Amino acid sequence: MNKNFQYYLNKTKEVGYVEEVFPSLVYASGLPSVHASELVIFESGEMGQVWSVTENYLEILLLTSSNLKGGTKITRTGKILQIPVGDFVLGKHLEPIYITSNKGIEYRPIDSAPFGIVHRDLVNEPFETGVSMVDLVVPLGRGQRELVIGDRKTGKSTFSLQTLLSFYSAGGITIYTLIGKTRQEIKRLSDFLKENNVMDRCVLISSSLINPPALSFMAPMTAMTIAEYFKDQGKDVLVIFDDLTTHAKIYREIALLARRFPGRNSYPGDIFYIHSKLLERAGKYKKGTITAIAIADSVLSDLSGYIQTNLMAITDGHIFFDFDYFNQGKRPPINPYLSVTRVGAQAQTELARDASRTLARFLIRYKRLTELAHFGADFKERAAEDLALGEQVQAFFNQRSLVIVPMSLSILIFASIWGRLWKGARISDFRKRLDELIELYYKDSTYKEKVNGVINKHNAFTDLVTEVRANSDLYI
Amino acid sequence: MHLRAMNYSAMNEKISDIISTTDEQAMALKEIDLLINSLYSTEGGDFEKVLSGSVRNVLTQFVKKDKDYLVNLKEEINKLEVFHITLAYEPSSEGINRILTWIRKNVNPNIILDVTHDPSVVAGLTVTFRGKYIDLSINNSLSGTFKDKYVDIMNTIIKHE
Repeated sequence: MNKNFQYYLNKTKEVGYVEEVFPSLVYASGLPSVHASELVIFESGEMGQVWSVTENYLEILLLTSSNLKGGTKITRTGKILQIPVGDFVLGKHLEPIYITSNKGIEYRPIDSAPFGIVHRDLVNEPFETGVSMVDLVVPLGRGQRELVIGDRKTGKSTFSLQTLLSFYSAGGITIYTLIGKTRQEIKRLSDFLKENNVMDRCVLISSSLINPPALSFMAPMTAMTIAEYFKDQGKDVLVIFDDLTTHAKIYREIALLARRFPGRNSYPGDIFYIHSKLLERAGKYKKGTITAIAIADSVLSDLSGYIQTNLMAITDGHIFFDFDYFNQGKRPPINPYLSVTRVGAQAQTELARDASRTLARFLIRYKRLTELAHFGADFKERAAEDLALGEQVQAFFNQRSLVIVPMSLSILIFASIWGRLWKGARISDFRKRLDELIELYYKDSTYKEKVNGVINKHNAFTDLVTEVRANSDLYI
Repeated sequence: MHLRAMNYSAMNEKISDIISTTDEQAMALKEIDLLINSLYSTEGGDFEKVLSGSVRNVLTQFVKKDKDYLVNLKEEINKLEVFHITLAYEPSSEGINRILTWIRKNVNPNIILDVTHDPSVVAGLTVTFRGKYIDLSINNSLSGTFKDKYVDIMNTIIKHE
């Protein structure tokens, strides 16, 4: 008999028996005083969490891989599911439920209620993703919850990694959560984080397909609990959930096995509650911020799916990775017309807001012009010029993966495009020069100071454009 | 319905007389299953054949050639409450009967025993009933004593060395 089992049996003096076993779920009898969410331990050493209690039986979620049989004894532990939190998690690759041998460590329940409004503050600090298009068109703020949605293999994870690298370089704590992924995918991401030397301020939480479904279900809650620990220390934290559609599917699997009444698309009725409770824990607090990037898969660019619309309703906006844009060769294939940010604009500087507004207006005009261009319409000089300008803007947004473009440089480059400084330049030459400027920004501190100086100096975009036009040699 | 309920209640007391342990319960359920299956046989006389060949004599007095009756009988047998005990030795059937008689008299007349043999109990027993667990074994009291008086015991051992 397992030592822990015997210990808890003597302590709680209650016993139950396994009646029925499903993958990930067990029905049991006995344990008269057990309560929902309590951890139970099996005679063979496996752990489980009580999911529901009825008059005749208990529903127990299995937290460890097992080969349980009917008649196995179970006992209570009198505890709820908690994880140890502390600085020791930094640099670690963890499973959703982990233990530590460290002593004097704080334990926190993973499924806690979000903090109330009195603890919160307005989102008013910009969050730089390092992706020019997002920073200029769909800007984010620290403490924002943003959905990244798109078809499979359109670069959503690449974007989130870019965001992670950018946030790391800005001094934040990053937590990447992989939910229900294959072992290869987990290994690839783990290697990536190590190669980029970001693990000292990063935590990777992963659950693979071979883990019990309950573990994958708990992975985002664990990530959020760790994020809350660092937030309470006044730090800025980024949590990435990759991805919540898989999370919903795993929850559906468990709920259907538990004979829960199926709702739309067979998802249980409380899936909205589960996701909103999770994402509500992110936000800007009086002390520290938790920015959440939730990734969701769409099918054939359909944004009207059940989970997708739920997540859109819960988050403060979404960035749409369009499969058609991907096929057109745009990288990242973000559709600016269908992407939304609800609180990002209020976090921008005055100059950035002005630039964003100018760009957004121009993109709409450019879209109309390109649609007309399909009909072979002859354009007047102004319209033809706008089309050429639009091409340059698109080329500017075509960013190599994992290259971080600082916000100030993005604004400066856009000002140079808007000031027609690249008029007549070939797109390939233009793109090449942009890459050189990005490199220069990182290598040459004088250039960096110059760029940051001119950006901090102006509040109006037109003023910036005028200055860049006047001193083009200095900046581009 | 009232008469039927009365019948089961009266029958239940007798059923519990012939079933003392979970092993006997499982055996009785298996025999009733065989009888139910024989009712569906296309060849005549199967029920009687099973009754005479595969069912113990003690059970035959409770059996009728009626499917609903047999199904209800199974349910009644399943309703018998299990009282789990773990002993350090394997008790004789006489020993089991003595324990069972005491429990039925003092706890509930519809109880059957599930006896497990575990030498680590040393002496005494552990009891599990309605989800509650009580350890009345010598192993438990010795462990407790050893834990509480560890230093005294070790000192005594060292002194005698």
